[in-house]
Amino acid sequence: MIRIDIGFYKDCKRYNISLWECPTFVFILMGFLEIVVMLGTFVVGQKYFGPEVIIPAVFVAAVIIFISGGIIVKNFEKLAETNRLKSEFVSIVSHQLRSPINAIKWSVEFLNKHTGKIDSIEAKYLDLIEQNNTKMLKLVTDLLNVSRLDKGEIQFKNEPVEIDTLIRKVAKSLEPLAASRNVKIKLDLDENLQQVKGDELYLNIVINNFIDNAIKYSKDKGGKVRVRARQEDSRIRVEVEDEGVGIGEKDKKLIFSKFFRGSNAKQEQIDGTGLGLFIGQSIIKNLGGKISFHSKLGEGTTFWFTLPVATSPKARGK
Amino acid sequence: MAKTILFIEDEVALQQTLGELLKEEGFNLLQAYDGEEGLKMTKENKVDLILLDIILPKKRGLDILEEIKKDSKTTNVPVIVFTNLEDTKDISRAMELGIAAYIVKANYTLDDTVKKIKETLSK
Repeated sequence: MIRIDIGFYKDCKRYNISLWECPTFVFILMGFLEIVVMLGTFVVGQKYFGPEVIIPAVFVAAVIIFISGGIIVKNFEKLAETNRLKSEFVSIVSHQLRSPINAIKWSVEFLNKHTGKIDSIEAKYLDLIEQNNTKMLKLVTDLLNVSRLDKGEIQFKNEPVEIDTLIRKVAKSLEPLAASRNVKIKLDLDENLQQVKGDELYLNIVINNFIDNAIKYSKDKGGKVRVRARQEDSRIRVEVEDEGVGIGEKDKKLIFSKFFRGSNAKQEQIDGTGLGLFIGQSIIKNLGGKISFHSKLGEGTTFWFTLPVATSPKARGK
Repeated sequence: MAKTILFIEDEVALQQTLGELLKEEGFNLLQAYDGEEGLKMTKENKVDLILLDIILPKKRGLDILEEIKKDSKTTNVPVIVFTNLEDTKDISRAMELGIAAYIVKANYTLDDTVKKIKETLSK
């Protein structure tokens, strides 16, 4: 019993799952349940029957619980193992895919730099290759991040980040996408915002996903995407508001789930993997912040997160 | 005088894109396609900068970095490490050993990479 006690904590850590999903914990729980059922059968039986009935009754109850418990634990174990293998598979594949995708990326860029030797038809198809390769890279990077978050592999830094500078940088990088959809990105950032406590690399991903989604879900309507950053006591709140298709009531509960895509996304055939918000939520939670949204179907959506300000702000170099 | 860059990278596609571009930019480029060859070239040539891939055949990038840093002739040569993934143990180890910068290939365009190389050389 003692050995199991020590073992199951390790098991759960290996699978990186919660206690309730942990096979060994469920096994111990089933053991307790079995004792309770046996005692219960004995106590109840004693009131009405003699020992010749009670003994076989307790025995039968014990066998049923034992067998069903065994089946449940086995299946739990299988599930946990499958989950672990899946994570590992995704991690290996996405890691391996990054090399060839990158080779394509640099090759296309190299050709584009020598445009004098490329005619217009070639340039058009090179563009297509580049666009699709970028999509593939984004997908593979998302998958890789999900698997690393699942496995708890990412070591988040806890450094002061100039959130306004970061927002400006991300917004600028998404300008071309916004322009192609006839969307205007409006920045509304408090002056003299304090730095937040976080990890710039991963905050970049969250802000990028928020704005990217806002642009994509604005659809053909165009409109505005507003990005706000406000100081609220010891926290900073970042909001991204769009005037897009909105999120249906049914979808709201699931919007942060892994691989979930809203019915709107499917109907309107909006690009995406269903991983962006899941990744965003994991990152913000890991950094000690809050993340949520409000939305009205047909009118628009606002996603926001808050993060604590950095306690010892570095002197701002401005 | 043109500066000499040693590019240790087994992927032909990267040698033929970044490598070619560096030549066009007027650098004197030495190219190694595996770890052993790369390390040999650090000893036989006077180089101003080393671009080092982490995952290499025959000898791991980190082992090469360790030897470069141990050798008094090469210890002061700046090294830029190339990697597929950010914030890994390999990168932390490389930073401990002392590198000028690291480049996550998927996050960098060719232009950004060349810019970073020039920045490092001008330091």
